[in-house]
Amino acid sequence: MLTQDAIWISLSAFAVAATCSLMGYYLTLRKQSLFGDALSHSLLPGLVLAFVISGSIGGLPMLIGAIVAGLLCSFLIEEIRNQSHIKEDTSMGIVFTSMFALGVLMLSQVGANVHLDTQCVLFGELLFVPLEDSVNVLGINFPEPTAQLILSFGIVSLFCKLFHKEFIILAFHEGVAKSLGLPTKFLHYLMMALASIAIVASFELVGAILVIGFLILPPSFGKLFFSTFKGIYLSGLAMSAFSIVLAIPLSFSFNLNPASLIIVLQFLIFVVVFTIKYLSSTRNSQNLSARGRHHA
Amino acid sequence: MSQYLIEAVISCTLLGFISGFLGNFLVVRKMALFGDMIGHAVLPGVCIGFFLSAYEKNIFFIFFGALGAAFVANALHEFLSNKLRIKPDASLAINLTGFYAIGSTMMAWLKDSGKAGQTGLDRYLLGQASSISREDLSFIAVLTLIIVASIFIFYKEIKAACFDYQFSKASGLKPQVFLIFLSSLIAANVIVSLQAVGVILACAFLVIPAATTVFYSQKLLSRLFLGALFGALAGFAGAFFSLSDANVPTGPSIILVSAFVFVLSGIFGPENGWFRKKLGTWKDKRQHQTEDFLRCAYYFYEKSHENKAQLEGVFKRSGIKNPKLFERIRKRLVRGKVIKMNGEDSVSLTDKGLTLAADMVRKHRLWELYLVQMMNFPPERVHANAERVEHLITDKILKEIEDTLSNPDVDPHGKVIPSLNDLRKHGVPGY
Amino acid sequence: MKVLETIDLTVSYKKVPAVWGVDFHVPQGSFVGIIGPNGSGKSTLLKACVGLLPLSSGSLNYFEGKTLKESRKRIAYLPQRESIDWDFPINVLDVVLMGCYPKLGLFRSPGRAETRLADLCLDKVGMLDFRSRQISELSGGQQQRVFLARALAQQAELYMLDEPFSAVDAKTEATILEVIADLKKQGKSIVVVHHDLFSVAKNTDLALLLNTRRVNFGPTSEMMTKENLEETYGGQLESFAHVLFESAKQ
Repeated sequence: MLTQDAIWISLSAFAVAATCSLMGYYLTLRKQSLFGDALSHSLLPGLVLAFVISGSIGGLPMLIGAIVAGLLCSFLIEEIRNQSHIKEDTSMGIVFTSMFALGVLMLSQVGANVHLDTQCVLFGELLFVPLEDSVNVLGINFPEPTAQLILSFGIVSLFCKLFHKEFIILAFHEGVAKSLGLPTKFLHYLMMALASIAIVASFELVGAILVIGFLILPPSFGKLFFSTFKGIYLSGLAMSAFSIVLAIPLSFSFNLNPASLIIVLQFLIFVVVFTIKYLSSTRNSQNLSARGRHHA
Repeated sequence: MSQYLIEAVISCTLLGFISGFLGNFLVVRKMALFGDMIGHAVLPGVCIGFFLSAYEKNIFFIFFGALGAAFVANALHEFLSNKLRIKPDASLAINLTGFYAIGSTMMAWLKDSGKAGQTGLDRYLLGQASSISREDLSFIAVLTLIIVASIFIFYKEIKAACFDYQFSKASGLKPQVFLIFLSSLIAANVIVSLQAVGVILACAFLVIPAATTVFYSQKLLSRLFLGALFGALAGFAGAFFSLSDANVPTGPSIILVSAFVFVLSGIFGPENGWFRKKLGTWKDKRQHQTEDFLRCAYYFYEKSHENKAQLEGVFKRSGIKNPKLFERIRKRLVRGKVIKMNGEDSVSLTDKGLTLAADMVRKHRLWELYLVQMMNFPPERVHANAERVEHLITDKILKEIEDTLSNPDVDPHGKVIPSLNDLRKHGVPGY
Repeated sequence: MKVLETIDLTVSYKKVPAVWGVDFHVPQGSFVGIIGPNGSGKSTLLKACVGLLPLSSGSLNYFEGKTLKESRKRIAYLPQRESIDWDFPINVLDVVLMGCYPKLGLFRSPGRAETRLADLCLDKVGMLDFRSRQISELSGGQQQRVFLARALAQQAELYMLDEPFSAVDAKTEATILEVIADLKKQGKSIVVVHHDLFSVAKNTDLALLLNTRRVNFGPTSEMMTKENLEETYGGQLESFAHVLFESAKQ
């Protein structure tokens, strides 16, 4: 077990959790959890195109490619919904799968050799983080993906801090937001863009599909216990941190994909805690109704 | 093409058939994303099936393993959603990613233990038509028969369950049973499609061809057939392309074909296709232009009792701003034999034109009268409104207005409404 | 004969009792109105009566002692309009034909006889001209009439209508009342959840005043007292209670 590598891997995973669960908070509030799924799939063609144009992985071209793809995805979903009788869920199902299919096709033509292959896209390469090129910041050698992730977290959290109130109102009721004069379309696309940033930064590390786990599981866990933003976000992060700390050593010992394992642990923790909470609340209400019948 | 490749293409075509067929029920019940969850959630089941069949890809084990996973995921989703502040969308996402993560962990472990082979399980992620065997084909064929037969036998109960659950339940039609049955068929469909399109795109195969039918029909039964057609087409073409290029996995190939058909249908489809809508709007606009022109020409006819109107005057009265547009309309009307040129600068109405014009004027004036008499509009204000509404008055509405107003002779401005008798008196043909 | 009878009925909705200990019955051939403020459990009560919600305690029986299961084919239920997806690819005739499904049984499809019946029901509600229209093209009142036609197509003996008059135009309201009057003439029984006190006072034979528990039940004319209405609507109608009471007397 290589401790320093393990630390970088854990730190990177934690950065993924911090960034994604932040955007996930707003998405779950808007009952659009699956938008995260849609976005993460739809980014692929944008990334491949960026790679083809810029010739490199990571960095600004990828970010731009991701944002463009993410905005295109959101736009197409809205357009299909508006121009026909097709409902939002169907529209989402059409757009993101098509974009993902396009991305895979592009990938297959671009070359099966490259860093950006299907395996990586689907599962991420958390294990290989320490082997990446590193960037030197303040004297410490950060692996490049980690540095990008931390930077993305900075950008996303900055915008979320600025627009927190507006996002909340938009999540509460779009009609109310509009009547208050908020630019709902702009806010929606901003949110999608920020989510795209969070996703693309995490992409390389955890893969397209597992990223949703980092988006949705921590806030959902937090919601079981808290109602405030701080409570939900921080408790979700704590749960993630716990899962990460458990999963990384396990993945080393059993030679498993660390990202998958982190999600598996988060999922199991969530289900177990949920079940406990549900059973205890049922027991409480049963007591209440028994009392009630006596009175009546 | 070799025998086994033909079988692969046939399999994919059949899979497209049933996916496009069944997918309509997902679309109509707004459960596309539920299909997404099922698609991802079966991965651990596939791995378990693989494991149990001693790594020999026995389709029965894989099928039932996946079915089991689908049921567990569904049950968990029912349990989580709408309780303790977890909404259905979050529950779907949680299950989707949770089961998929479990599955991918299992997959990695199976691959690592060396027995599955590098591409053994991989094909379940994105599909690989070339790995479809004859055994698979028979399985798919049987499933196709089961699905089509059961949907037809229980069609009315399933339709009622999808459309109005409460009514069905209250009437004793047992929608719960049929919905579970439907979900099982859908899960079975997803599972057999895995080899063609893979886990990630399994949902797309169910959704896209079925969604395409929206542009062709508003009847569920027609949509079932059309969906099957579009799905089969996508399956066939997609498999074909994929088999010709080793680098292209089958799933994306099929999905892209179906997406292409979707886009084409969205543009050219007869029901709400973009192109058809624009064409309709364009046709309407031309019709209105014709009617306006004729109506204006008629005013001069009435005033002078001569079938001759100065173009200048018609232009001014018509309200059309662009002289070039006016010219184009005039030329079109001459071509359509609705007007005749009387020298350079005046026109006469042909018989056909007179009929149309008189009809328009009648509608215009009757509407003005209706606004004034029944809706208390001031007479000065009714003209602009009538200019727009006159084009929309059908014969049925016209009859109703005539009855309501008791067949009047004069409009609010004192002008004669060309009555049926007047038109006959003046020898206007068609009356 | 009592076509429906509830005894000490309690129904919970999401673990909270929505109606407590309700006793009422529907004599054959009568028109019963259920009234009460929002959230008083009117819909919940009706849903429990047709088996859509489980009973927490108490019992109910149909047609002098039969269970719901035995009586299903003799009851028609008209749910509230919100639960429908209006973009569903189905036309007016098909919706009405659904009313024939229970009587057809599992393996038969609607045939000519059923289509004739459906057309007859559509005509009764004045929607025959619309038989081929998609339901998405209809107005609220038209949709309601189509669903009423479906209930008629069930050829039931007891009709349970949940807020059939909510948000409909005057013509639809008149049509629905006509249909109900016609059903009464044929000896059928009708239960309607309604929010309009004047309409209930004018048209119904019996009224159930509900505010989570039964406030009162009996002949409508006797029910429309100031005390009853105040107790049902709580403070909501204090200022109007006098006016209502006066006009309900008429």
